[in-house]
Amino acid sequence: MDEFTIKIGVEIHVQLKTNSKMFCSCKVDMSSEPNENICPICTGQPGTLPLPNERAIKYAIIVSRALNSKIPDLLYFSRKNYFYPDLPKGYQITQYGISTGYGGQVPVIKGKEILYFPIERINLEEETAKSFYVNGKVFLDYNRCGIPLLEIVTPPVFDSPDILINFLKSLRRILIYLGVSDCNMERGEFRVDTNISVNFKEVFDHRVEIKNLNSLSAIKDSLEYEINRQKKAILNNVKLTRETRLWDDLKKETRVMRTKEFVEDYRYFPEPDLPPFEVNKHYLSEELPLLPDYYFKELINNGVDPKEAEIILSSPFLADFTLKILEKFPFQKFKGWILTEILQYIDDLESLRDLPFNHLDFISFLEKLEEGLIPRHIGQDIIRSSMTNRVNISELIKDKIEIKSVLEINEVVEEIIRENIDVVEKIRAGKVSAISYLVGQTMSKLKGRANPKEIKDIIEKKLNLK
Amino acid sequence: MDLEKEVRRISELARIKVGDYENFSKNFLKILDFFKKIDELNLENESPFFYLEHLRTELRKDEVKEFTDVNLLFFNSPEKKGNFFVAEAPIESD
Amino acid sequence: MSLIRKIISNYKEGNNFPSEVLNNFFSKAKENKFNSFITLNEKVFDDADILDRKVREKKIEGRLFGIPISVKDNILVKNLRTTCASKILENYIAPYDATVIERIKREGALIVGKTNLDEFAMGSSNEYSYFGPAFNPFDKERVPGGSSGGSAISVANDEAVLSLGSDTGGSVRLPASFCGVYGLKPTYGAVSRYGLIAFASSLDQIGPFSKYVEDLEIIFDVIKGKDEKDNTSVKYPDLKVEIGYPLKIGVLKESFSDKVEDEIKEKLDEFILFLEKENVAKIKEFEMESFEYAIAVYYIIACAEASSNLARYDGILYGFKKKGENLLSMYENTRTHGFGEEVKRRILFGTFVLKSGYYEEYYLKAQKARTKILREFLKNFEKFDLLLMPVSPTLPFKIKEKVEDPLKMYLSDIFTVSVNLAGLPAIAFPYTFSKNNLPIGFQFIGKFFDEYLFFSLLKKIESLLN
Repeated sequence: MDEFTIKIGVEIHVQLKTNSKMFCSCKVDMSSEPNENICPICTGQPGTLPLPNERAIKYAIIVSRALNSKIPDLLYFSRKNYFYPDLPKGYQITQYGISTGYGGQVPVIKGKEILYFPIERINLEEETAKSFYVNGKVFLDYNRCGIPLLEIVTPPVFDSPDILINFLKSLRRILIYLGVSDCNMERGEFRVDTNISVNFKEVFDHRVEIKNLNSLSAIKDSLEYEINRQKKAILNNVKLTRETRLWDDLKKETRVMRTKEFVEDYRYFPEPDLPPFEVNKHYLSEELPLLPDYYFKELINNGVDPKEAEIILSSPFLADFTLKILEKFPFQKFKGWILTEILQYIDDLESLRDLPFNHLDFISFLEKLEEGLIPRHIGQDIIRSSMTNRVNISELIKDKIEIKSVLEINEVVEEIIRENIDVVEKIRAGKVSAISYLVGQTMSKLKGRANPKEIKDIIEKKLNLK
Repeated sequence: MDLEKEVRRISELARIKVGDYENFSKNFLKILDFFKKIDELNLENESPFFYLEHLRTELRKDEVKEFTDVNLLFFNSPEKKGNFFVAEAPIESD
Repeated sequence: MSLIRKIISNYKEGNNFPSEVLNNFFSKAKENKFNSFITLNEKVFDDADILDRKVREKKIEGRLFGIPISVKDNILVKNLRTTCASKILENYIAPYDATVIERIKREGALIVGKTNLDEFAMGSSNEYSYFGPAFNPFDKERVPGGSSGGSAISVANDEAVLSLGSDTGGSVRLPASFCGVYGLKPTYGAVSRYGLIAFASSLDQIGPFSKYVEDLEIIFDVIKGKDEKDNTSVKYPDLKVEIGYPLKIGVLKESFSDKVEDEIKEKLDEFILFLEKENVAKIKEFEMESFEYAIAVYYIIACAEASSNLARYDGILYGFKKKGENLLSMYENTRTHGFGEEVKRRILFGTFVLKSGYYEEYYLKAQKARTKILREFLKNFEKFDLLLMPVSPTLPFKIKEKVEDPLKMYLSDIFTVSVNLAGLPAIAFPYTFSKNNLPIGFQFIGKFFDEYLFFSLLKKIESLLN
């Protein structure tokens, strides 16, 4: 049916995880009292000058490298001039004309595949203040003002909301793996504005921008709404116009944003307070962390189902942990332990940074299960206790099954042999299978705290059967 | 170019009203004509931001330093309530 | 001759106490005969008391120990009102010290008060002040020159030993020349701008005034050098000045054009003969193609930067506010009533030259012309050690003579602006008086970091003239 073409593009703003703000030494902390973390620079007092944060620039370069963007030798800042209460200087320091990163692409996981979607540019800029509107007044909290912000812009290359959502998930994951941002959407650390135009045969210039998107589902719903709205308009010969619309998440509709008091003209020009600076060579050569597409390929190659792989990928820690386990065990042997047993105790998989045990502890846990030293239900108890009390599983295993030393086993075996001379006679006479009776007796005397195979070996030695 | 229209537009952008737009535009034109003098210069091979070339920005270490006189910032503000700075809301906020 | 050394040696010999010396200057400042001060620092006597004690304890330390200094009211002194001679900052209390203020305080300077200027340093006559015009101490019907008029007067009239002003297009040199004192416009970047209220960031430079050249050297020693709070400041090179007399000095051909008043030309001729007779210099004329364009280039760039720098005065975080029924009307009320006519005119020009459609025509072209000006200067420095020209084409003019005609006022700066565009240092020095007993002075222009060459040469000239 479809002669409609859909073109979606996005502009993403990411708050970088630095200690101090972009251009001053104020603390980045959104849990502080309002206007606690402010100073003359971030409140735009007369006479102040911006002092760029080294780590923010490093992060912008790391992201540009990870996305294969071109990084110029010299970086510049520009001023974007407009008036708004959340912008104390009357201009935002941003990048214009020359970006930290040009071009590049994002590897997007879709089913078993990895697709590549282009980005246009990556700019470093400063965050604005937080505003609250009450009775015709705006209340301003400048704690947020000046937090480093990365702007990532794509061309309109997405032809469905679903693929865009995949793109956003993949991009978010990359930023989390790089450690440059927590990308918490609820806290506004990863904000998305979309633009969409639906066309029928001919191409019109009626790009609609959608704002106020606070979750992935809002993005998806708003785009679907907008696709329908634009299709209907085209079919009914209603003229579509270039405009900005706001998503109403309660009514599930977009509506035209009441036009700003008038159209701005940003009058960009090079920031005279910040001469250009060279890109630090170390930032360009430093090894980047392994990224989700690497882990994805490894997991898939190890027979992990793409859906399960996606779950594991949510946490860079878990992805790395899983790959280490995969060196010893096939996925089938432990997937239940991770995906069901461990994950049931984790609320926020994305922010998972560690477990109460390391991969070696977990491998030895799996070995004991394998050897039958730990019955399955005991294993589940151990995981629960470990995850809820944050105790290493190795400690718990010791408690539950304190393995007896060879010396102790020897003693018990000798005792059992003395007590079962008749059975020993039978064995010596050729009924070798009767050994398992002795093993069982030894095991029960040791209360299961030994390896049956080891007991068998010891008995065989004692009876000179080997 | 309709200069008066342009003057109205820049007055919007700069958030500054002009009393008499017609008269202001007339004087504006005089100065613009004077600025236009630079067209006589041959600038074909000149780089625009040469003056910045011998300067370099030095980056600041990502360390927190608290500003201890936040009260002075509040002292200067014309409208505040509790911990907030306050201003008239823009039209599009409702 | 150094007034600073004389005062400090008097302290050392126990002849005077800082509070006594301060009182001599402060009481003259308090008379405010020429409207040179906007705010007096009444608390300075507390600082003087501390220094008195140090004199008694024979702990006299600091290169400016007990030296009364005035500061242009666009440089922030913590806890003192800083108005920029504007209604919009009429009640602004500085929340921090400018870097130059930190540096002079550290050396024991006593800050007498804040001096008058053209609003936001925009003007050449000190008539555009919200606190009323300042008057020339040699003839009260004439202007003291601007924009740092109050600073120049305070030194000329013994209201302070030294003063700190700022020079964006001649604002130190012109009033120095009109008031018969020394005024230095340092190499761009030699002195930190942190705490100087920005007019045009790429042109602004803080510069000192004094009656004796040696004193200018002493204060320049204190304020110069890299400041980590200003990315446009540079490490001042450690240069040894070795002068081989006679110096090769170029005099600008236009110094003798019909735009320059006859009396100034006559005295310049006389000065040239004096330099040659004393074998101080060999003098030749030089030409600069771009010279006559400098005013246009300067006003385009200065206004462009000013339009952005002055956007922060919006009635929200500080300063004058005139309420409105919504944000837009509040902005317009505040800025229309808070700024004076000349400031508004420049903001509007600046907005125009940066606006889309005009940016390339005006701003970008002006930046290219700026490069050309610098290159022409550097070319002349291949032939000359220093350049010489008048500071102003006229003697101090009458109050109200040019105030209604901005273009006429702008032309007062024809000999001063090109230095700021090129970032070069220049020094205005007093030479003689006109028939009507008005000061006549000239300026030397040097290569980057030639300040100490100025000082050496002018010390020699000062002693030869006396």
